[in-house]
This record gives sequence, structure tokens and C-alpha cells, in this order.
Amino acid sequence: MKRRTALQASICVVATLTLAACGGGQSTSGGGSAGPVDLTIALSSAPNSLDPSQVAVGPFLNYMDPAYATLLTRKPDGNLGAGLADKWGYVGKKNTKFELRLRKGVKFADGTPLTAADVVNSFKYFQKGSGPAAAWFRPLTFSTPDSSTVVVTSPTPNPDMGTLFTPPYMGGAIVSPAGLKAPKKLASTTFGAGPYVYDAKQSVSGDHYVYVPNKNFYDQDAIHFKKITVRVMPNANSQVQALKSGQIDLMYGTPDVAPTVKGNKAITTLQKPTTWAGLFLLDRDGTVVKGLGDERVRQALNFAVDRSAITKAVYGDYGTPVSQPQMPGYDGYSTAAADMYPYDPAKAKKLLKEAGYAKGLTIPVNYGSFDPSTTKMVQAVQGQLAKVGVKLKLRAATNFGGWINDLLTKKYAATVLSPGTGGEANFYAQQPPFTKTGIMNVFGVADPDVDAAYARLAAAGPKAGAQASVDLTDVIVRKALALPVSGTDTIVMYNSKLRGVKFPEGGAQLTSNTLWTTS
Amino acid sequence: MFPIILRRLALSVPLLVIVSAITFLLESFVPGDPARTVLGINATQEQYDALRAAMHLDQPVVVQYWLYLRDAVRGDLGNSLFSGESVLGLIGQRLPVTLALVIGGTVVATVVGVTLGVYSATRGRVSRRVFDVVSLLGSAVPNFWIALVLVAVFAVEFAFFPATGYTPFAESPGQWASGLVLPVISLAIGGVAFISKVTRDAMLTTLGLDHIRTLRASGIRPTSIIWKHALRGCGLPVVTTIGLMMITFIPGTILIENVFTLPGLGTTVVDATNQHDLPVVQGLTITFTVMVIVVNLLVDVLYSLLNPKVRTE
Repeated sequence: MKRRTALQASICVVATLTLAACGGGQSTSGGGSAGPVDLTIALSSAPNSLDPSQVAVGPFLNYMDPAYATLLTRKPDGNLGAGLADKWGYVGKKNTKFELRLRKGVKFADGTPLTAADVVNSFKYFQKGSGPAAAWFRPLTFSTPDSSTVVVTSPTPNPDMGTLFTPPYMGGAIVSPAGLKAPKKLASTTFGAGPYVYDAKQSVSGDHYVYVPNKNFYDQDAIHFKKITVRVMPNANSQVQALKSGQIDLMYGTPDVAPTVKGNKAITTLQKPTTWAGLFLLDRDGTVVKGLGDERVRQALNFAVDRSAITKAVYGDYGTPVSQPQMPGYDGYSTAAADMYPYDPAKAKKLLKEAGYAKGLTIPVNYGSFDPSTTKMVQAVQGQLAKVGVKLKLRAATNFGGWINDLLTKKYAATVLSPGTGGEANFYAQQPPFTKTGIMNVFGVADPDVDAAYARLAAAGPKAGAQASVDLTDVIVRKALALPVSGTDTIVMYNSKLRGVKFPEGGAQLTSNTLWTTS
Repeated sequence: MFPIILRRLALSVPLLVIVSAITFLLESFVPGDPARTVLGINATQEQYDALRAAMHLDQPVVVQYWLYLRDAVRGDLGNSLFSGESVLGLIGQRLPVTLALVIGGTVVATVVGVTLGVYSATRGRVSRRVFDVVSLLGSAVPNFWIALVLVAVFAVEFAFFPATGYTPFAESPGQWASGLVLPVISLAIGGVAFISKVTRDAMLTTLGLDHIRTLRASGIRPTSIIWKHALRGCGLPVVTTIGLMMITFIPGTILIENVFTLPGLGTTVVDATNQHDLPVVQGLTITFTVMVIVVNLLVDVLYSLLNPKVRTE
């Protein structure tokens, strides 16, 4: 009897393992030979919300793209493309009025038709939010000449207003009237007019988010997948294993894990410099550190840093030395500015001496130690500046809230924003740190040269815009308003069977995941 | 037996209050402002003030704790600062994954560990030495490393099991079991070494006792003596070890869940800590404490079943 029981137990164990082995290791998406019919994307964090007015951007857009169509899109060549609006453009020549004509026959996922009034209501809701892009929308006002036209008015000229209605700014992701009526629900479900809808039944918040086709989407031919799943996988190594075994189709890599897939033909890697890392020299009037009010001191800091060495050491093959707050390939990148500060410690010492700081000076700097690369970078800069007598007194914040609190105390003359800024048109990239009311300009420093250059760029038409953008960069760099060190890459690793995964020209965010297809 | 359980449960209440108070106090010392973390840099002062008030952050820590405790007694552990989800709901969703890991790991470690321990105790000196070395290796090698090796071999190379992820049992029993095989093995290996060593030592001691010699002299089969009589004599140290092992498995799941990306309490605690999501951290701390209390209670019950003296004391 006992033997029989033992035998039965053994059979159960073997059966379970067989069952387990049969059920496992099967790719739900990318592993099959026919290519993925489902799309599975891995991200390291869950979204803070599914509400367009709250959600952080960057890779988090993958949670929003399927369900929220935006008024305009960004085409791979960098130009604006149609979305919920199929005609758009400035009214007049002042860059203050922008008109959007809505596509005919568009419905929200719940079947209600999209009207101009819905767009304006959605804009107004977005203005009240605290998402990263909300600040750009707050000054805007809106009108609706007819049921399919929306006119957006900015109090100050904006040469690139259409960008605000593309996915990375989220305000152009229009929320349906049903969603606006129940704003609390917006955090955990979707109310958009995108090609897919969030399926809460198949999803587990914080673990995986499933999107299924929207039968009311205006272009059914543009729905390429039976299902899009975004999985939360905090560990980059686990993501790589899942990518290699076909469990996921795309992940965002890090300099640590990206080399592990080199040579693997089943996986394609894309990389592009998207954010600049370095020091924001906040105290440009010399309130906390008098020396920083002197242009020669700020220039000395720029001469004292060996950007190539630091970039190589910290970011390896996934960074680019930069000495301007913009990176190659983006609007406003200046070749003249790139040569302004070659590594020259002797010149740095000379400038410091001329400014009356031959014995050096101390600069208190706050930064976020929650990003290991930032810590390495700022410590490397600290070491190099010490050689010319400049001491960085570092204050580490272990989380984002701590970093912001430190920043707002105005005790720190410089800061490091992790993971950085950039990847945007120069008009948007330079406003937060360098204009008087910019959110990163915590000391409220007004620089007439910057303001003038910014105003010229804001009012410039399409032809003069490119030069005006470069001129703005030149002013910022000549006056050494920052200490940029490296352009850091966004790395994307994906199943080679996927098509259409691209960084648009001049943009830092991948093309929408709804546009990708399989071979 | 019943009074023992009642006494233990009564003692667990102040323990929970103390643990939750210490956690709350420690969290209040963590630098940074949860409201800022949630809102980011673009929020207006009004939005910031409103959120601080909603989170009671404008109140003294003692008041904050009192409000928390009051709500907790009513079964409300608050909401996640990030997702807005109920903490209790979040825990309920993730608890089955962690329990599956802990119980699965305990069963595997116990069955394999006891078997190996008995086998080693009844073999010669050479096999005992080999056993000692293997056991030392098993307890010395970190389980996350074992997990990574298992993934590289059995998930990536041979594709026998998935590298990551969890499928609920109700959805597909096969995929549920499949997803748990590698994590459970990774978690259990250290426990196997631990239990087998304790079992081996206890078995050697028991086999040397007078009543075992008497049984042998009576002509009872050696297999029966070992598995029926001697093993019962090893019960107390082995049960103690299993209890201790389960308690180490509870925090051990944090690493294993992260390696295999399982949506359990372990991954949640890491995310919540990184995000400074204090209500979730607090709720998880209480949950882990409850789990430890339950394990201790089970050990006490088993103790009293194995040793009648405990019941009479």
C-alpha cells in the first residue's frame, strides 16, 4: 500500500514536471518563425498612471500609444504627420495661432464621435494636470470656429507649436467626454481614440498591461497586432533573457546589458544620443557662489573637463562627448559651439586666476544618486575640476522627490538632472533651464542675451528658424551657462522580425509602437 | 493546543503595532518628499499643497501614524501613491505568487533535503564527506546566481521553461507550473543543503539511541526503522529548521521574484521602495510580518503535535 502511494506520488511529480515543461518556454510573440502577431514590450517601471495628464513620458509612452491617438504624429523623417487632425498650420505669421482640422468620421473607442469641443475640453483637462508636459499647455487658450476646427493661441510666439500635439507631449492625446466625466477612472483605464483599448481583464496592474484592437478606430488597416502587451520587468538582465528566449519583442537597454546581445542576429540594437548629462549651473548671478556670476569662471569649468575620457569611462560605447546642451542630429546643434571648449586645464587655471580665483572655489552641487551613471559622471567631473582648484561639494539625493526638494532650497549652485534633458527641438529644450521663468532656473536668473536669442527663435519663420536655433545654442555656450559633458544614448533592443522601430529624425522617442509591423 | 494558538495570536497584535510604528517612523526619516516624487517638477504649488494635505504629510508624524493605524484597523491600508490602487487589493493580487514560491520552495527543500539527509546518514564515511562538500556549496552559492544559471541553461538555451513571468493557475495550470519550476528550484537549493545537514546529524544521533538498537535486535526491517521510527525522532530539529527556512524564504523571494519578474510581493516591495511609495511599503512590511507570525505559529503547532510535553507546559 505504502509503495503504491509512493509510486502515485512519483507519477504526480513527473506529470507535473512534464506539464510544466510542455507549458513553458513557448514564445507568445517573437519566437515563432512567422514573426510576432502579438507585440510584447518590456519596460523597467509600471506607469505612474494611465491618465495622459499625469503620466511621465519617455518609454512610458508605450503604455499610452496604443489607446490614445494624438492630434498629430511625428513621421520617421522628422516632419509632423496626420493623426486625429489631418490638416494643420499656423494662422498668420506671428507663430502664436495654430489651427487643427479634425479628420472626418473619427470616433472614440466607446463609439462617440470626436468633435472640436471634445478636443478643447481635453486640452483644458490636460492644463490642470501635473504631467511633465502640462507646463507647456498652461498658457494656451482655445477656440472652435466650427465643430471640426480647433484654434490654439499662445500668448508668446512659439515656432514649433505642432510638436505639442504629438505623442511625446501627451496633450494631443484626446480624452473622451466619458473619461473627462470620471477623471479618477483615467488612472487605471483608457478613454482614447487610438487603434487599441486597454483590457483590464487581461492585465495585472504593475505587472503587465494588455491592449486589444479598437473596433471603432478610424483606420482598421493600421491595426497590426492582435494584442499589444507591455510587461513590467525591473531587472534589465531578466529583460535580456526574455528577449533572447522570445518572450518579449522589444526592450530598452542599458550600457551594461547592450553588449550581451552583440552578434545575435535575432536581435537588433538601435542607439541614439537623446539626453545631455552634465551640470546645470543654476547660480549664474553668483547668489550662493559668487564666482559663478563671472563668465570667466564658468568658462574655466568648461575648459577643465575632459569630456571624451569621462564619456568613455562612464557610458562606454553608448555616449557622445558634448559641450553644448544639445546633441548631434537635433535642431539647434552648433558645430561652432562644439569647438569652443577643448580640454585645456592650463587655460582653465588662467581664467580662474584672471577672475580672482587662483586658489579655486567651492561649488555645492545636488544630484540624484538613484541613477548609477549620474553618480559616476558627477564624481568624474568632481575629480577633474579638483585639478584646477574647483571643489564640488556633492549632495546626493536617493530619490527623485529628494532631488527636487534639494533643488528648490536654492542652497545648491549647480545640479545634475537625471537622466538629463534633451532630445527636443531647441525651443523646448532650452526654455526650462535658461529662460527667466523656466522651471529649472530656480534662481530666476535673467540673461538679456539668452532672452533676446530665445525671442528671435520664437518669432522665426520656418526658413530662419534653423539658424536662430543654432544662434541660441551659441549664446548659451559662449556664456558658459552650463557644463555639458556627455550625450547619453537611448538604447533599444528588439526582435529583428519587427519593422518600423525607429528614432525619427531630430527626435528622441521611438516611433509609436502602433506603427510597427512584422516581417 | 488551542490555548497555545490563542496566546500566540494575542502576542502577535502588539508585535504588529510595534513593527508598523517602527516602519512608519523610519520612513519619516527617509529624505525626500513623496508628494514631490508623485507630482514631479512641473506641478504648481497649489497641486503640491493639495497632495500633501491629502496624504496627511502636513501633519506631525505621530498624527500621521495614528490616522494610518485607525484606517488599518478598519481594513484600509491606504492607496498606492503611484497607481492609486488600494494597498490591500495590491497585496491580495500579489500574495498568491509569493505564497506559491514560499510553499513550493519549502515542499521541494523538505522532500529533497530530508531524503538526502537520511540517505547520507545511512551511508559510509566517503559519501558523507561528499555530502558535506555538496551541502556546503549548496548553502554558500547565492540563490540569485543559481537562478541566473538556471535561466541561461533551461530557459534561454533549451527553452524548457519560461525565463520570466507568471501565469495564474486558473488561466493555465501547465503554464502556472512551468513558470514556477525554475524560481522554486532556485529558492529551494539553499534550503535543501540546510535541511539535509540537520536531518543527517539528527538521524545519526537517533540511530545511536537505545530504542533503535532494540528495534534492530527485534528483527524489524532497516528501512522501516529509518523511515518510520528514527525519522519521527528527528522531528523536532527538522521542524525547527523548516520553520527557520520558511522565514528566510520570505525575504528570499524578493531576489528570486526580481530575477524571474514574478508579480509577487518581492518585486512590489522593490518597486515601492524605489518609488518612495510609503503606503505600499508599509502594507508590505505588515504582510511580511504576518507571514512570519503564521510560520512561527505553524511550527509551534507541529512542535506540540510531535512533543506532547509542550502541550502540557
